[in-house]
Amino acid sequence: MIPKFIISKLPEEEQKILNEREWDVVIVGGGPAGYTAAIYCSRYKLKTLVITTEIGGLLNQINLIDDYPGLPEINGIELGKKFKEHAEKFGVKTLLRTVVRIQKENEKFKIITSNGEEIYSKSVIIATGSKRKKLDVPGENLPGISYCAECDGYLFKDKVVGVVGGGDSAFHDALVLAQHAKEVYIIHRKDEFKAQPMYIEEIKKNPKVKFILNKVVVEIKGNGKVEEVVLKDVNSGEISTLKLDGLFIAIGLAPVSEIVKDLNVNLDKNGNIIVDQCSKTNIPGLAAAGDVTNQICGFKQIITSAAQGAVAALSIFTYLKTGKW
Amino acid sequence: MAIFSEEDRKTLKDIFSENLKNIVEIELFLDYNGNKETSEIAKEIADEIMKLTDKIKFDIKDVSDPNVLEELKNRNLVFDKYGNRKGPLFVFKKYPGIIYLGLPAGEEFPIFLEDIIHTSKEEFHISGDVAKKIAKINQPIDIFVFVTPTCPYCPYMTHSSHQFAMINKNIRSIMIEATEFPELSDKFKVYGVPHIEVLSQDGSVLGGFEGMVDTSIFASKLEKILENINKQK
Repeated sequence: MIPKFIISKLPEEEQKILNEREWDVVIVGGGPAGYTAAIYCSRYKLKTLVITTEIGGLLNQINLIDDYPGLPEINGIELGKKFKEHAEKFGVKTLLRTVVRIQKENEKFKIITSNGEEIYSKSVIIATGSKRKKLDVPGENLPGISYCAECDGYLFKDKVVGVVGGGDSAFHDALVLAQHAKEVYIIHRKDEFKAQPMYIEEIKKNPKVKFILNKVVVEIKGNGKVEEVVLKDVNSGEISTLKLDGLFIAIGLAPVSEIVKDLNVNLDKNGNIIVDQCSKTNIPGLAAAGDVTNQICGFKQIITSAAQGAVAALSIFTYLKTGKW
Repeated sequence: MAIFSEEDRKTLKDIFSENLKNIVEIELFLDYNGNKETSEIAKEIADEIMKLTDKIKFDIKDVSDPNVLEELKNRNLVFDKYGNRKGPLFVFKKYPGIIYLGLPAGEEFPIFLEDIIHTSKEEFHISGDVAKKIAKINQPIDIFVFVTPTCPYCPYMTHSSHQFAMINKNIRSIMIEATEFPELSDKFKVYGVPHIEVLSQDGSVLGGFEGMVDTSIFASKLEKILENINKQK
């Protein structure tokens, strides 16, 4: 099947978006939370703009989604495009830009893009999502370290690779990599996994995947590229090494919340934006939804992000109607 | 098996009839020695597309013909000096800076279609400030955009850099399907995509980076790479 178009707006169409004096709501982020918020906002008849660097957010890194109700099997990129199309059907506009910061001027929000453009809005929903956490060990910048199996798996055909982590992302990556690589090692600091049992079952059946448990990566070595990882046993402290051609890091997610730093938004110790159950932050007119927030029970899923997006839209609609937050 | 399903053919036919204005001519250089399988697929794609519209013409050439090889060399279109794989290579005739080395497969295929549509309509899809920045580049450069077919971030980079090539004739932008050109990819240490290399057209590397950025940041990075090089001169 031919992948759908994703990009191009004519400069004139883009200029029209940039010429808008003020939006009712600007949603920053184009993943499940952002576009669900956009669908609901536009149905509340709010003038809605989504600003995002890419369509789909982290969905893009998922080969097969099989836990979203009604869609038993769908590719992540495809689902991201469907969210966008759905929102645009109701008149939502998308601007492909990176937002660098958001400020409050009088009662309005000023959103500044990487291109220096300033966009004004009565309210904002932050749905910037999350990115893969770094290991924070020496050698992590060597070529051959990756945070996207979907993108880079092809480059390790018949090679030996490692995946660090024990959650859904690590198991997903291992499955993707097993399609290309000769051997895949899952390196995990415990001997049990957070990943869904379905993933674990599937991985255990795959002869290419092997487990290295109770070990952490303390260093990555190589001459110009990854060649070896140094492992430490968490119980005995024993040091060992493993020869690898590539290492994929899947040890969890870190929220992308830097853009709100000018706004005095309350963040938790991990940088998640603190929201209440109505997706409101401590700043009137500023809601947040999805992976960037401290909700819902830390269960960062497509469906929970979408749900929060819908709730955020309601909070913004009520705020714009009543002035109450 | 046919390259496009019946449904794909219908989709493509509709896209072409709705969007194409002027005839788009694309040179396609096939290299059955270097990349047999993908050269065969490239030819099939070209033949199929030409059956669906009379507004896209592929000028198909085989690099095993010494005259064709000579032409490639004369036009400085041999990009893989390490693995000696010369194709499949797509070059847009009217905008010869828009180049695909390897198949525009998977996630890259929509960008290939967009390039066809944009060049057919002579539409530029980059807004003012960025276009101005790119138009200022006055030295001939090549931008290598290494991609894989399943990389969701790569098409954004191919799109931006092909737009740069449309705006400024000093820029050639080459999407390179990394897995079809393993020696070239190894040489540039491509272990993650999108991977960008900026070269002068005599082949010396000026700079590069890995990862996706939006068009304006891409233009700024390019500007910075060239500034640093020019300072060193």
